[in-house]
This record gives sequence, structure tokens and C-alpha cells, in this order.
Amino acid sequence: MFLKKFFKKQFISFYFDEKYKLLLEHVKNNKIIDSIEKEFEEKKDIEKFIKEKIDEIPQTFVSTILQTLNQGAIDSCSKQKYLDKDIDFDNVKIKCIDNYSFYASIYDITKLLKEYSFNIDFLYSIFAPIDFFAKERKNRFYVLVLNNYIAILGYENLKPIYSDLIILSNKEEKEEIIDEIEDIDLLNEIEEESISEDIEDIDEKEVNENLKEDIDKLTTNIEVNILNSLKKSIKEYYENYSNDFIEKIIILDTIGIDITINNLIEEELLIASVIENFDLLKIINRMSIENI
Amino acid sequence: MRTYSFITPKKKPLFKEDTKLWLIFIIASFFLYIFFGLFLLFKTYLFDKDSKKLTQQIENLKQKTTKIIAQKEFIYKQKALYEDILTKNDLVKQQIKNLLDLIPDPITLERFYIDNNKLIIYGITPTKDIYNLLMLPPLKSIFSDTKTYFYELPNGWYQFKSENFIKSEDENQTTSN
Repeated sequence: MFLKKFFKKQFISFYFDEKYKLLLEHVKNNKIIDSIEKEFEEKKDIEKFIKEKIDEIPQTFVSTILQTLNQGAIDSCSKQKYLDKDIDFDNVKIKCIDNYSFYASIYDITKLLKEYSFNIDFLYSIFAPIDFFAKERKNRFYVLVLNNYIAILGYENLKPIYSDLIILSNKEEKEEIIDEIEDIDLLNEIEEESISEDIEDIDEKEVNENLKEDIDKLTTNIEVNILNSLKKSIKEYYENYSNDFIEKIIILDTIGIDITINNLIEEELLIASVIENFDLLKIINRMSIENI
Repeated sequence: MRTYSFITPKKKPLFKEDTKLWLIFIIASFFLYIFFGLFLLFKTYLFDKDSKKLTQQIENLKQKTTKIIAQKEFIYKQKALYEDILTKNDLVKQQIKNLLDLIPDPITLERFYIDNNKLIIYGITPTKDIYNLLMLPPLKSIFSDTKTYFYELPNGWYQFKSENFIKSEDENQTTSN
């Protein structure tokens, strides 16, 4: 409608990654006027916030991404290709983009839409923001890194031929290390009460060193986890998808991973790697803005 | 434009429900204002038209009043004239009565002519002396100039013609008998 361009639109994107992350942008004439970024611990809080915002401005579009395992990208839109890949064509929803497609389980989509008490307007596959962002599309591996999982999209010749969503298994390890740190603290307290101050100083140093090692272990674990996941994916890629060498791995970082991962990848996989700061919420919103 | 979303958004209204209500009221009141404005314009037009008509009527009435005033003036003048004539007639009547009173018994009046400033009397007298004695003195006392002509009749009486003039010029009434 002609009047629409005079009205302010509100785009809200959110996803869950340890906590609910949300970005709200006000848009007029396809230009972003202002934006608010928020994080919520509880689902009810984000629901309350989004409902309030929808009540304020009727032209509000809520977008999110699907984070379930039953999704991916296929280098074709044909039913045969899906059947070849052993994907239940009738139980997945397919979004065809040019000559490739993204799919997701209808059950997962329906479940997600029912999960929240507000209406979701745009629901994207986790791989869609990567594809939207990807400029280099020849023998490239894109790795979207979140706290709990990574999404990998492999391009051969302009289109994605490989996709994988890997849940990072370091959560339990993290918990173990955190427990360990807590135990050391507890021990420290006991020692403080019983042992003399001189000995206490020495012990404190030792404890601090141990603590530092553990924290290092915790941080490097993420990078190592990513590297291990990448190794498996690349192996699978070469075995089942393409004979062309991957020329570059582009890491889309949403959590602030250590730059040393580039060296690790280059040393272990012999592939050039770059880290790009990736504002997933902003990209999701941009995809929605382009669709309105 | 690439569409990545698995779902399509529902149509969003431009306004909230209460805003819609407000807008309806505002638009309705706006139309009422316009309607009322048009009504006032129409009324003004009608008043203007009436006012012009009334002004014209006033103008006509003024003209009529002027005419009536003129007629009234004329009637007053006529009335004055009538009264004047009436007065003069009374005066003439009185004069005729006086004239007839003036005629002595032995003299017979045949006819007379009264003009603005003259009186001509025709009559018969047994003698010139009777006329000169009984008739002439009152005539002379009234008129500034008196001329009498006698014609002897076969029976010895005289027929006379008396011309009497008054020098004043305000007499313009003519009466003939």
C-alpha cells in the first residue's frame, strides 16, 4: 500500500544461545532509524518484551532461526535429489533459492511456532543467514560459531552442496572444570582456616596457577572442538560431496573466539582461514527487511 | 530478491485498533467541519442574495417614497390652489353680490363682464341722472377709472355701458356671466 512507506516498521530478531538474544530495529523507507539489543535469561521475559513491542507498533515483524538438527541445504530443488539423500520429502518444508534449497522438518517448524506466545513472521534455517552473507562462493567453507553449536555450509560452485549442524560437546567438560574450580576454592577456604599464613601464600600461588590452566583449557576447548568438528566435516565433504579442494574457511564468529584458531586450522588442515565478526541478529533482520 | 523464510508473515494492520477508532472519529469530524463550512457558505450565499434583493427593494421603496413625496407636494400645491380658487371664488361671489347690491332699484342690469382688473356693465336706466346719482359714486369709489357710455332708447330710457378699471395687476381670474 502507498501509505506503508510513511509508517515506521519494527523488526525484531531473536535466537537462543545459552540465553535469549534479541535485536530490535526501527525501519523507515528501508533505513534503520534506531536499534535496541537485549538479552533475556527467561523465556517469559522475552515473550513479555516482544508482546509489548507488538502492541506498540502493529507493523512489527518477528524473525528467528531454526536451531534443530533436522535441517540442511541441498544443491537442488528437485524431489529426486531429496530422495537420493534419504530425506523424507513429505515431512520437510523446502525453501528453494535459485537452483539450491534449504529444508527443515515440518514438525520442528510447527513446534517452534507453537513454542512462543507471540506470532513469528519469518522463520529461517540456520544456514540461511550464512548463505545471505556469503560473498565468496567457490570452494569455500563457512562456519557459523555459536556458544553451543556450529553450523557449517560448504560451497563448491556458487551454491551450497554441504551443510552440517554440530552441537559442541564441551558443555559437560565445561561443567566438570567449573566444578573443579569450585572444589579448589572450597579446599582453599579449609586451608585458610587450618594452615599457617606462610604455607597459605604458597598454596594460593599453586591454586592460582591451577586455576589459570583450567581456564585456559576451558577457552582453548572451544577452538579445539571447532577444529575437531571441522576435521570430521571436511573428511565427510571430500568423501561424499566434492573432489575440489576447499580453498578457504571463513569463520563467522558470534561469540568472540580466539584468533589462534586460524593458526590451528592452517597447521592441522592446511587451509587458509579467516574470522569475521558476524552479527547474526542484524543479518536475520536484514533478510526480513528485504522481504517486506 | 531472495526469500529465505519458511513461513510468510501475516498481513499487518497499519494502525492499532484504538488508533483506528480515533482516526474514524477525526475523519468523521473533519467531514462534519467541511459539511458545516459548506452549509455556512450556502447560507451566506442565500443571505447575500436576500440582502441584495432587500437592498433593491429598499432602493425601489426609496424611489417610490420620492415619487409619493413629489405627488404629495403636487397634491399640497393643488390643495393650496384649490383653496386659493375657492377663496377667490368666494371673493368673486362676494364681489358679484356686492355688485348686485350696488345696482339701485330704478336701474336694470342686462349683463356684466368681470375681468382681472375691469368690470363692464350693461344695463338700462330711466335717466342719466339716476345713473350718475345712484350708480356712479359707488363705482368710482371702487375703481380707479370709470367710463360710461349712454344710448338713448326709443322709449326715452337709456341703455348704458360702464367700463371700470382697477390698476392693480394681481387679478388674473376671469369670470364671465
